[in-house]
Amino acid sequence: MRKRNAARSALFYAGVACLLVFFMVPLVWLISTSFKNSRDAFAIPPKWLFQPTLDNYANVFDRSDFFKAFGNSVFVSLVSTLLCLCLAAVTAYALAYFQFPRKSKIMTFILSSRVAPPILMLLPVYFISVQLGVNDSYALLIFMYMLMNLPFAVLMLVTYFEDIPSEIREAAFVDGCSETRTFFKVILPLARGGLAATFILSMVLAWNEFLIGLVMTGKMTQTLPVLVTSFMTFQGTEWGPLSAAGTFIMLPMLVFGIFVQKHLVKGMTMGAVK
Amino acid sequence: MIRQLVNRSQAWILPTMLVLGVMSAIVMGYSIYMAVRDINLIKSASSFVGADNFSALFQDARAWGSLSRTVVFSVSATAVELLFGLGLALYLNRPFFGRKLVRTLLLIPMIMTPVVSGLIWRVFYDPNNGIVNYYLGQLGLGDKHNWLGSTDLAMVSVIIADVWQWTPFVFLILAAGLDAMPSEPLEAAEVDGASSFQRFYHVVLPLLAPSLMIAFLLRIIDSVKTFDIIYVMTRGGPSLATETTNMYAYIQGFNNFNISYATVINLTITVIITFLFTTLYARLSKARR
Repeated sequence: MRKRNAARSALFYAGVACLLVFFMVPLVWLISTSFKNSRDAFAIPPKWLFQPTLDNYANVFDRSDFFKAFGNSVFVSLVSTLLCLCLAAVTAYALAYFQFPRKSKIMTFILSSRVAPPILMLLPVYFISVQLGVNDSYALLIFMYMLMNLPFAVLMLVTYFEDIPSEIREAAFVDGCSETRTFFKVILPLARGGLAATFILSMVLAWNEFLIGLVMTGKMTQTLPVLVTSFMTFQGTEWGPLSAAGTFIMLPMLVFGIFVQKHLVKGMTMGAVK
Repeated sequence: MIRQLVNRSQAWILPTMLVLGVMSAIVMGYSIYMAVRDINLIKSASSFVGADNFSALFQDARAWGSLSRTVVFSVSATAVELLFGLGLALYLNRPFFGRKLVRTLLLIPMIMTPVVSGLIWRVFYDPNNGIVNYYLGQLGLGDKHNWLGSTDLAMVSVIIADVWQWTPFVFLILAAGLDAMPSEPLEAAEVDGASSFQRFYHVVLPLLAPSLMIAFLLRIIDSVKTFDIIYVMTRGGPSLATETTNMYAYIQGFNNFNISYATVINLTITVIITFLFTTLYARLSKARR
């Protein structure tokens, strides 16, 4: 009996190992390739053990456009996320605590802007920005990313505010706090976990975003995901530097994402799953 | 008093509604304006053409082909993701050593930068140097498959990459559903002598239905919008084999600069998506009640 159990659990762990291999191989391959020289990178059979080298990173860090794009990505995703959070927190507070006419219609409207494909918005905005000569500007890119994240940030924050018992808010009123003061001094500090999770998730989404960046950026405002695709040229692709750049782009967001993993699903399903 | 209450709420709602509302109005207004003209950014002048763009769309075989490919891509990717996600959630729904770690590691595909994931899969699929062909060859399944380069396999290859990226998301939704499931109905069924299949089909599945619905809804909506991985893996090729409507609208708008025509393609998709979404949303809220 015990032997059979041991065999069954060994089989179970073998299954888990297979699953992990399937889902992890791309990341492992990317990171290991970034430390390979060009001969090892495409060796057949694939080399999983090799002499590591930092050449690819040196190559990437030598490119001035890489640092420019890195700075752009940090600046644009940070500023757009902060703006988005400010707007979303105020709106979510009202949606969570106030009763007012057409509230459910407003919720549906916000939800529907999450559903609409971004390219629908991109065509008119691109056309107008070309007419006005404001394409390839930080302000426009920041605004677009803020707009992209606003609907989900509002819906996500509503669920966090709803988790705070309304008695706490009423107690603050009894103690003589105004609505604004209650919001800043009572509700926001209590919801800081939710605020942090929303901040990180919209940061990750803005950082990883590609289509808006591809259309709206030029030489000056190019973000990292857009720059990476320019490593593929007609002469062929420089896979070594590309894998180093890919690793460099992905690692901060992976760390962030794992850091808020408990909130990630809640955020990505807009509170439908706790 | 009531008026005061309304005013107070409006002040809090106003900033977001202003941003979203004004933007939606501009986008809708401009889209309609662009749809009835023949704006091409390469030409300097444009003129009013009425419904010509729409009638051109109805005769555009490439557009309808792209719509059917969008349906094939979204439906098959979503179906496989739901099936795998459900299997995974049931398989891992037991206490075991390293459970938390496994769940954490499974997050990785969905937070990896999609452009980079697409590039990695592109290298994996390389017919000569890719590891997919190498390991398939080792298993005796042939090492000459032209994954992204042949019209038969390209769509399947892109779907596999999407399944890799989003199955964990479905898994996490369903795992949360299983965690929250009350144990009494299952125990009662066991006492009543239900077989494990009966327990799954008559107890677990109905209780999991709301989570399945949410996962289905979010995946179908987002898979219609898939752009990044298709763009870096195939750009819609070879010979349009992976060109979804989203990709086609992008090519018309930003490669050929047919801004007007791209808008018309887009308006048509959005109507279809909105229709899909509203019917599904109604069914979802019914299922949750």
